[in-house]
Amino acid sequence: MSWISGFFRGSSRKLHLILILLFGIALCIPSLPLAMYISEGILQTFYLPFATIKNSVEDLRHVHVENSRLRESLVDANVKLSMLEEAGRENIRLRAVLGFEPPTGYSLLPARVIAVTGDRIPMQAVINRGYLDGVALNEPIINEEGLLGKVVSVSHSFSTVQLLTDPTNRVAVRISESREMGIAKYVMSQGLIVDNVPYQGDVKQGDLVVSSGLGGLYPPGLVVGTVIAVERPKQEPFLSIRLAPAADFNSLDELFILREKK
Amino acid sequence: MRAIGYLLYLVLIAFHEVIFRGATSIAGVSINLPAIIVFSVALFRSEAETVWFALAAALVMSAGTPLSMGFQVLAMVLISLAIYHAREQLNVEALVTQLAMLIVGVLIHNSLTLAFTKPSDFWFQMARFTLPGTIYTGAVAYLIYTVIIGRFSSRRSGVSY
Repeated sequence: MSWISGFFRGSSRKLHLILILLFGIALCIPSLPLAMYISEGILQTFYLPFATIKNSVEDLRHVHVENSRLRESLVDANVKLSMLEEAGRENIRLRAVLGFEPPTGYSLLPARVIAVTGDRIPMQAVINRGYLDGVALNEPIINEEGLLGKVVSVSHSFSTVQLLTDPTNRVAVRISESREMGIAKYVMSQGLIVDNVPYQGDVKQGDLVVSSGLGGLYPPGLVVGTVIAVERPKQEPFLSIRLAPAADFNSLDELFILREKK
Repeated sequence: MRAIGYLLYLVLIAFHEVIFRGATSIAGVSINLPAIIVFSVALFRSEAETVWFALAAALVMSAGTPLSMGFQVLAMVLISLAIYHAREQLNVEALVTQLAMLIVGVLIHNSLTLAFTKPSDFWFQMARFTLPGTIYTGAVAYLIYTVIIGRFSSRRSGVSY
């Protein structure tokens, strides 16, 4: 800069000021493309690196915003998809229920499970029907697959169902083919079994087990399960029969309260 | 070595025009950083450096609007020159006086720019943007002067605040 200072000494100083001012005036003339040329050079040299950085940062910010928006719509779509899938499953279940007929002399009151309790396996279920709907104690609960249990407590709008998987629940049953009678109950170590069937009884794997109607609690003919194993233990007066439950107690949803017609 | 410093100032002006002005703008009121830099040169450097740097800074700051380039060159050079001569005549040393001169310079520059770009709406724009912008710029200049220049001069003179 010392050479510049040198120029500014004396008359050359005024000359340079005049030159700068003339240069400024020349830049003011729109017909001269001088300003455009200078502008282009400065933009390329000084502005472009910063503009590139700024654009990159803005692009990144847009990508981030877009990413957040897409994540939200993905979650939304997944929720809708789950709801649609659930509606589809419900549709299939309800179609199966449509053809379901109650035993003669009984009517069906549909209900929904709103809670299930039990340790390891479901033992009790709370349903959305109470005494306002006319539900009474000990009424049988079934679905299109078979017998589920009975009502053990009733409140204003809800009832509690004791499922067949509750070890304290007992059902008088009959082997549908041989008409042998017994008592079905759930044993934690073995699952659903039929007890009290005489040693000489004619029971084989695949036999259907239905409620016998004895005891007056359950009407006869409700499917309880299918025989999956028969053992004849020595020194025991009864057969050891294991059942596969007709109903899937782990996926209870819609069910019916079986009510005697008056 | 000093030329590199001036080049860095020009880079800083470009950075201000592209990024910093928008980032620091408050409700449309922005800092006139090029004016702070150019008028500071006028306050602390020689006349030659003042006019040449004012010319270069005006070219860089108006590169985005080539139609106002000539006007900016004239305005920057003349205001810088006026500040330089005022400094020489008044023998300005105190920080407050330097800041006052800088702020007056910024106000004149902002007003001339406004008169050139939006003459029809001059008084409204003046009240809404130019005066607040001048105060904003003055506050930033005060910070720069006290933090950077104050520290630098105290270190050089051995004075501790």
